[in-house]
Amino acid sequence: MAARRNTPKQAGLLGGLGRYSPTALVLGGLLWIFLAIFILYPLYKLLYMTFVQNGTFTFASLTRILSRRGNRVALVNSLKLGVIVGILSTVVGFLFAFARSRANLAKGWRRFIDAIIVLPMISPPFTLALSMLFAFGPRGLLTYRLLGMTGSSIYGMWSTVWAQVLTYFPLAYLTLRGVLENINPSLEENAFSLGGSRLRVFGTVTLPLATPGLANSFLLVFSASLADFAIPLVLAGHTFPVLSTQAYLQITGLYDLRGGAALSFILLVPSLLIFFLQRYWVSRKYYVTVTGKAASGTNAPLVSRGAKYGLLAFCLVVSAFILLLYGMILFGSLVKAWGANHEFTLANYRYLFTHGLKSIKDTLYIAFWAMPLGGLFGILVGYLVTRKLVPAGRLMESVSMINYALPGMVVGIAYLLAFNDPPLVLTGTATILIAAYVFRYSPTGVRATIATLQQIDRSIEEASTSLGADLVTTLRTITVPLVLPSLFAGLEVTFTRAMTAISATIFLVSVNWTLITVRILESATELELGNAAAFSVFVIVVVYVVTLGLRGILRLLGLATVQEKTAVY
Amino acid sequence: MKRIISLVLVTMLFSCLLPAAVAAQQSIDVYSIMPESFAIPFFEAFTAKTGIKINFVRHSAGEVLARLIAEKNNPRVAMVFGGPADTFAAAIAEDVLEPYIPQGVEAIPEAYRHPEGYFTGIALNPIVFLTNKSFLEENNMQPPKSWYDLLDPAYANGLQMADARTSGTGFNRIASIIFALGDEEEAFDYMAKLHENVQVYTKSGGGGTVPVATRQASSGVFFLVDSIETARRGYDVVISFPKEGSVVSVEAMALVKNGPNQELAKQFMDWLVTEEAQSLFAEHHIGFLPARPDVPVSDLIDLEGANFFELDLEWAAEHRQRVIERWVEEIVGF
Repeated sequence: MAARRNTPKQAGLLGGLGRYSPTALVLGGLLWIFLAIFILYPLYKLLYMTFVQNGTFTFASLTRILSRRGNRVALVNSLKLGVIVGILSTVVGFLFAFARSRANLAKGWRRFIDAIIVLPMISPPFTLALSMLFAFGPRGLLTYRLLGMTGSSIYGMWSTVWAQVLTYFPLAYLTLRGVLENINPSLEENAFSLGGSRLRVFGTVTLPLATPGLANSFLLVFSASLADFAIPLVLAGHTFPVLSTQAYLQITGLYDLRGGAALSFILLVPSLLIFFLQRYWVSRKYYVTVTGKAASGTNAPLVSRGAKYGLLAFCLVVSAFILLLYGMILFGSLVKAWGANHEFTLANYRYLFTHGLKSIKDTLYIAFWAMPLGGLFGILVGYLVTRKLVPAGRLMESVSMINYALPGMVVGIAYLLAFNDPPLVLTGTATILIAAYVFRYSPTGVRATIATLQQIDRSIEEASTSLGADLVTTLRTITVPLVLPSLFAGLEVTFTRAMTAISATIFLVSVNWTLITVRILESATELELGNAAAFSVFVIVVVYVVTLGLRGILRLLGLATVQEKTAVY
Repeated sequence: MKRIISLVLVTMLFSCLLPAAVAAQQSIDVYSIMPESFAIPFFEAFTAKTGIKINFVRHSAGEVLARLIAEKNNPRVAMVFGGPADTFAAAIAEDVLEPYIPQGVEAIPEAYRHPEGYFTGIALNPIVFLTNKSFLEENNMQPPKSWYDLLDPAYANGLQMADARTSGTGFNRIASIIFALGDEEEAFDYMAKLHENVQVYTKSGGGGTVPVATRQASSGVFFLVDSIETARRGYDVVISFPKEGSVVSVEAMALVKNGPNQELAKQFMDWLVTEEAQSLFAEHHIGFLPARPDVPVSDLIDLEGANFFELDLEWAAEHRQRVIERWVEEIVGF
């Protein structure tokens, strides 16, 4: 890296590449190969199908789709939904992360927050919507029995907004917690000792330092909301059409694959646009806080007593809400006919471990492969890009985001188009499912890594390099420990999504490989609500065990390591 | 260390590229549009009889069609089991089916099969009303017996039915109304009034059955098979029929063009039109009506007051798109 600085004006391609470490180049090349195979190639196949008819390029499907008023309304709705959900989720996620890292909460409360926050991320398809229906429907537990409201409508924009906020705020939380924890408390302390009020310190120190994290979190949630179709499918109703459900109906209801794909490309535009805006904006405002200089570990009294209990109350209300919805799923798994006959039974669990066994084994196999690959991929891309170790890093970052921003169903169809024919026949294998998850959900790891690394002063790594360590050693001894929380965020999200996501993989399951989520959808179709609930409870338990395990490991080595390393230098 | 890390990395990334083992011989790969619990009795009975195994994946009609189109150059399955006839009509247009006329097909009325054998009906699925019983008791009402009964203000904000853009259910409902009332203009006037009572148009055909079953909605228009299943699961619902009539959708099967093991699939299709196979609907209390008129119907199905008519497939093919678009523009508003 020192060499890079000394020779900024080297001419020629080889000379240009010479600035980069060979290991980084090999690694970057490898990542590009995978990005090309699993993101660009399927995208090309999909574009080809959408825009090339009878060998000629045409915008016919796009103009046909946009000539319909419903689709234009849906575009506006999607953007509105994405912005509102992005902002609200980021606010809720920030409050949780702030309470967790700054409010001096007792250990028990912190553990409680950590445990609750996992639940919405799991959100098995369909069952959560059922819970919401039974809680907020016209005869819902809360709306009708508790509040005595009649004729309340659960369908529309605001129920969709709140359902999505509840589902996606943990993404914001995960991104922001790492960021807040990496802000050196001594900065806030110094501001205090210089006479700043609490609000002023928060406004002028904490918030600006968290800005890259806030922007990243908004971006993640915005894209997730745009691409999400499960929640709008059930809750948006016909008064609030959004693009992802329009695309779904276009493909599955009107049998119009081309039109559906065209709709999805319309979705991709705002996602990419906001992504570049965010890149541009954040790159001018990033702050280094992990500097390698000793940090005093004392807790800054940033939060007043009142604010502390206010934060805690807020977290508790949101948590109670989440617990209610998930408690209802548990209840549904233990009764004969959820919503009607509430006689106790274990039959649903018997079904789970007999007829459901193959899907359980398949899902676990796939999720346990996808997890490390997704986590690794996320952190490698994030690292190479932030530290500018490879040429065209921004391009790499953008490409890695594409599958995340596209609606899952479209990714599924793109994979089907790309990997059904030679040269690479993968349909019917576990590989195609694993790849779908890795390349669709590793962006969380990428974003988390970037957000964290932007706060870490490069001089720590440069010190290592100038002391004679090579790239891999520097990575292993300096960078990896610093970005461990981000790596674990990536692992967590990939595993959770591999256990719960359905939209991308519905087209990729085969007679050889099936998934629990597909079984849940199937059970719901057959009105086996109890089985659907039992499968969901099983998924929740597994994800819980794995997530808490990961966090336990992180607690044992990760956070401790961050403190140690920074203190040592 | 460097070498070890790169080695592990490369091994991990590439090991996931290895294709899984290929399935065993003497088996048929099938996409089932019919829900799994209904389809399995047929698959198991056939395997017991012939020793031929059936591997299947279940998808909704539109998803199966999307897969068939995407897999056109290298088809993964031999046949499609179940699914409404209009799906197959769309599949013919996409050139993904191959005609096959099963042996003994004469037992199935001509109206239920494609003249060239692109698809063959195995069951019938009429459009019916499904109403929550406690709702009726509370309001002292009889189950709806006419399309116009649904306009009763008691149903305000209480009806659920499928969006017309869903596969099957929504379009069959609209076609029912058009033919039952005898005139498209009158049908659209009626649907505009009906819209006043609608809580939500669901995005899957049977999506409204759970809300109706659990009293979150009061009534709705669904396929018989979803309605029977709701009742069979112990929910407090009642099924009734419009006296003006409703459409019976044909549930069909088809051979996939250039699919693997086509000969075995043809054997399966031959068997599915036999009396033995057709009797399984009643034996397993599946809410489809068998396509063969000489086979009994499940005793869970009480067809008193039913007035069904077949959907004119030519009319459907010609007007489907236009009618759905008109519904979206005029009824939903966009």
